[in-house]
Amino acid sequence: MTGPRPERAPDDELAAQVTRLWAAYLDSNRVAASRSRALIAFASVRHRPRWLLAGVAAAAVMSVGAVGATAAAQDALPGDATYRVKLGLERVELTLARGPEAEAGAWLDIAETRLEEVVRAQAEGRFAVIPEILVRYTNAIAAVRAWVEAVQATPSGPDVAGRAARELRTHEEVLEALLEVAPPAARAGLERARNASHDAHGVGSSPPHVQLPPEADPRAPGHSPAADQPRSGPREPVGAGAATTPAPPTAARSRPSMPTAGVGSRDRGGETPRRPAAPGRQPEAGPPGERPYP
Amino acid sequence: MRTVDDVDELVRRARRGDGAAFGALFDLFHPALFRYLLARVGDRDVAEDMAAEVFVEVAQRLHRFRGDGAGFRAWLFTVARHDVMDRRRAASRRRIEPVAEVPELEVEADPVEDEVIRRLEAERITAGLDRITGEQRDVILLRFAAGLSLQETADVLGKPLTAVKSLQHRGLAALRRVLEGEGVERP
Repeated sequence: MTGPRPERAPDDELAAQVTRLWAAYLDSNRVAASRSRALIAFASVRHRPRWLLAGVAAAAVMSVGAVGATAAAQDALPGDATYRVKLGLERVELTLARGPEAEAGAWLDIAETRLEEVVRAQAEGRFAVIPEILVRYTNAIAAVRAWVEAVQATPSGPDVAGRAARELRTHEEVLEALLEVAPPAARAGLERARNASHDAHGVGSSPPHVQLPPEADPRAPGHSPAADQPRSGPREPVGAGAATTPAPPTAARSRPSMPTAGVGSRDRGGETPRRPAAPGRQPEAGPPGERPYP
Repeated sequence: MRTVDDVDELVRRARRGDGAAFGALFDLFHPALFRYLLARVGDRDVAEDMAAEVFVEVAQRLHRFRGDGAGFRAWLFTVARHDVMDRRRAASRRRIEPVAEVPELEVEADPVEDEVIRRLEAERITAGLDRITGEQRDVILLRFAAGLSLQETADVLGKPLTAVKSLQHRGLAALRRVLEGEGVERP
């Protein structure tokens, strides 16, 4: 120790020694890694209950026996046997969503589920499936933006936009945390996803500026929306509210080509965004109560 | 410097699922938590891992937490204390004698002799802390390693403020007696 020692009571001096002893330098790299671990754990816990609730509700609609499948599918990742069950349950959730606000909420749930999948894939070392999940995530974010913009002028618009902004800020934090620990091959997709989430923060208050991968961007050269129509066509809102829905912004509707096996044009995964109806446009007619799947 | 209200607000937002708020809580509390764990376990790597694990545990249970900023801090350090006790129980079951290791300090270009003196001091105090009561050690480490206030320490330990003051006074006196009784003069 250097310098003159101030006059202190013995106990004060001892207390100061203890303080100096453990005023240790923290390794900033390891603190960053610790921070990432904590945020990833935070994100994992947040997202699972919501998805499970939606899945259980969907299972109640389908059959009691599906509850077991729901639980088993909860943790599924692309390539797992139950992943299609999981995506199917999301389609059911979208089907059950009534109105633009519920649609926006359902797409937010789907985006969060995709994010939770990225977190788990990262934790389990299943890096090969991350790019596919990130593309689905980015598509879901685009759908969130579309629906939030659609309800912008409605009384519930601010609440929907507020929820989306809050949750997407959390997404961005999680994606930043994942970037800290991700292998190089996953970084580009994570950065795109982070940018999409970041750009969507101001949804409803600024012009759309969604960063989409080229294969998912309907504005990209050569993109043919007709080739990617979901089996039953886009679902239009029904009821009196449809006539007042604002003009649809451009939203990603295509299924991009996937790097992994098992994903093709038939695999919509419940994630092909449906566009809100244009003002004055009547919803497509269909049997009462029938709501086509995306 | 965040006010008490700021911390309360961060906790409220984190409970509602705001990841940015949880990250801010990490930034706020991690340094003190790390210093406390370093003082308890004496190994930097272990302390860093344990600090990370405490935040993971807290993240997993935050949705059930019902307190404010002060309560969050108390909960954080309570989890840390329990983890330390669990680690020591596991170590004793494995019949491994815990070694009071000297905390590794980062020293920036200090003269060698100052570093030696510092390490000797660290050895003495670490060994001395092991010879006072657990409650006294907890108070000293929470107060002077983690930098908690008297009230914050009382919250963590679930004790009245007067009891914490008394433990601090008696703990420092006991530590001083242990150190002087060892016969090694303070530098």
